[in-house]
Amino acid sequence: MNEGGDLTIHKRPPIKIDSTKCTGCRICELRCSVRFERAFSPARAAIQVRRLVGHATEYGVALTDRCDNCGICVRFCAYGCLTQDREEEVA
Amino acid sequence: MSIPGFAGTILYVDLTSGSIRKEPLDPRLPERFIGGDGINTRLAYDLIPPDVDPLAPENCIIVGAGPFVGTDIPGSAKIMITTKFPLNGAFGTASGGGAFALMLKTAGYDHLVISGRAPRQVYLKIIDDDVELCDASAFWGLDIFETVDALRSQYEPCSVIPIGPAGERLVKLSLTSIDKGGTVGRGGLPAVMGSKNLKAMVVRGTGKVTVANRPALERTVNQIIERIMKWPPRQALLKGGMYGMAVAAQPDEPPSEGQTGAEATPSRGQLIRRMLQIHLRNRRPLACPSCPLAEKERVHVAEGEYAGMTTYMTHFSPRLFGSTDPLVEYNRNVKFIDNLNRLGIDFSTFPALVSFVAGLYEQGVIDEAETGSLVLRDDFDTAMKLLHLTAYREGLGDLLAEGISATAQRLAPSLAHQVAHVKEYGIVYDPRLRGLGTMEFSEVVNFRGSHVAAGGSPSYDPGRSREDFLRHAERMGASPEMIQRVVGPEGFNPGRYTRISENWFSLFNSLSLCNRAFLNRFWHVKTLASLYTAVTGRETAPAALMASAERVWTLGKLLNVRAGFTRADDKPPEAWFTPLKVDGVEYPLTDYYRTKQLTREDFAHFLDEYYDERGWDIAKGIPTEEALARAGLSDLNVGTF
Repeated sequence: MNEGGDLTIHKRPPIKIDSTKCTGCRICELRCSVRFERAFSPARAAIQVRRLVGHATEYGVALTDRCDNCGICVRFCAYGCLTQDREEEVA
Repeated sequence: MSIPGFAGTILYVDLTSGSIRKEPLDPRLPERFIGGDGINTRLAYDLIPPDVDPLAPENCIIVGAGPFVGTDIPGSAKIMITTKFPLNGAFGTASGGGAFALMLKTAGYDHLVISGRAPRQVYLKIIDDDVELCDASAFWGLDIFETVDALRSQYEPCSVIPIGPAGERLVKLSLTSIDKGGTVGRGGLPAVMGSKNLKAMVVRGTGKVTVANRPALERTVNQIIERIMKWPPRQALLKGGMYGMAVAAQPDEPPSEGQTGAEATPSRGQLIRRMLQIHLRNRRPLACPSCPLAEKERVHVAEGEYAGMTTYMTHFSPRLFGSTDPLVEYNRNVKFIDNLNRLGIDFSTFPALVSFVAGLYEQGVIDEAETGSLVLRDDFDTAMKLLHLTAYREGLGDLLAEGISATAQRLAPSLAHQVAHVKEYGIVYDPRLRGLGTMEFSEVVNFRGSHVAAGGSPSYDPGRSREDFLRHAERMGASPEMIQRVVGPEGFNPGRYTRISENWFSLFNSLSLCNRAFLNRFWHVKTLASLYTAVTGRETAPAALMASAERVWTLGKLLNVRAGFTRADDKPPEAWFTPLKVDGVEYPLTDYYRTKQLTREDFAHFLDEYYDERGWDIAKGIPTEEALARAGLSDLNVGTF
């Protein structure tokens, strides 16, 4: 609620991925999975790092439907592969 | 209910009968031996007979993932593999990066014990609860990278430990890698797999790793990550890898007199710098799970003789093949490393062996009758030929495959002393070039062979102060009394300090934490004890953690004492007592501070001090009953020694 009592909705901006910078460290998966699973479980994270066999970028990174753009992966990505614009007020 | 930080299960696979069974992890094992290397070693004590032929079915391969595996603790991804190694008959634990440990743990297993010999060629597939021995006849003959690709095409996302042609042919100098990246198993782990008809292990885990106190873990991990991210050399490491870091640490070298411009013959230092410039254009960093300091490499050769080739390596570490053209030299090195990694041959021991036999040929000690009509030179073509012959055990390679001593004894017994090795492992750090630090000294006393990883200390770099050695001893868990003995007014004692380094190493291996110098530097024993407490929920003081680590090292030694090793095996290479000649300059063996030339007697004195510091029998170089009791191992049958 803002001071006037109107409901303010914050929409989390989408996470942007540059897979060419991914080293396959899976820190994003580890951090993300804790949020959903209360335990470390890369396979159940809402962000998935996949090896691209025979591809120059080596890894591909994708978000699953479960992702709510919380940004924990962006905060801990050590290689600049993940970015996110500032949170914006949409209503 | 399993202990937090542990999956709680040991998986036993007997290849002879094909039986697969799962047993709960006895909680007394982590209590006394931490996990990873520690529990592996304790299992090896019971499961591998001391005098077994390493290539017999009775030898076991014991794989372990310690309590930190699966968390976001930086560098917590090391897999530990314990066996009796065929190169020298010593027991030891090999370790490697990649995703195998993470996958094994999330599949539900802390340890995996493989015994017996399969009646046919198999690979072991572990996908969570689904464990199966599968027909590997279609993969037999593939090299290491090809095997990984073949298994990935069926099981990705997965992690793979395969063997190549050298492992299939029981080559004692064999080595392999995990996921094409982290090398593992110097001393012939692949030969042990080959002797068992085991082509590969492939694992995928989709489960969870729970810890006791996530908020406490997160606080400490976040602090460490913040320090790592702000560490000034980090960017140089990410850009140039270990090779870039090593070159950056060398002083700039002006062009030689009369040699200026592009046409001049480059000096050794200039060649190394120019190769780095090429390497920077070709490499991209790859990381093990949880690591913010990526140092593994994918290399795509953009120009030169092998343009278009893509390969993978732990890190680029060139030897000089004699060309003065950096592009030629670079291409040859990438090709050589690629072939070593594909065929599965130890990159540290094999080049020393090539130089030795090429030298024998050039001196006329051996001729074409011994070489099988090959003309041997210490160059690229010879190295490549001998590499393939060795991996496939053809011609002269069948002899080289047996290792340094076997080769020297057959070809030139009187010149065997020219090859610097300890317990058959080629030397990695030569104290004639660096002075005698802990890494160099530990190569001699390491029960597995001349393995430098256990000897880390500030002496990794030249010219460190006495205060540095004091500070790091405290960081690495030494007690105040120990520190007083180990670092005197004149500086540190490499014999005594090595005890601190080895215990610290055992702790890392038991937690499954990466021991690379650039990660190691961020850890303090108090931090590790607080993380261990947060992960397992067992309140553990730093001193208690270090006592367990010392127990692990002592037990590793004990396995080798049972196998017949004594002080006589902790022998510095004879070559160290003759000055090393590099570019016309002679380097004698000296102390770390470069103030004194060291004799055999001086070295023997350091050995006395090492055993004394450990509380072992100085004359025999082995633990006494009292030392075993102090280490909490008196319940084990020590046998006769």
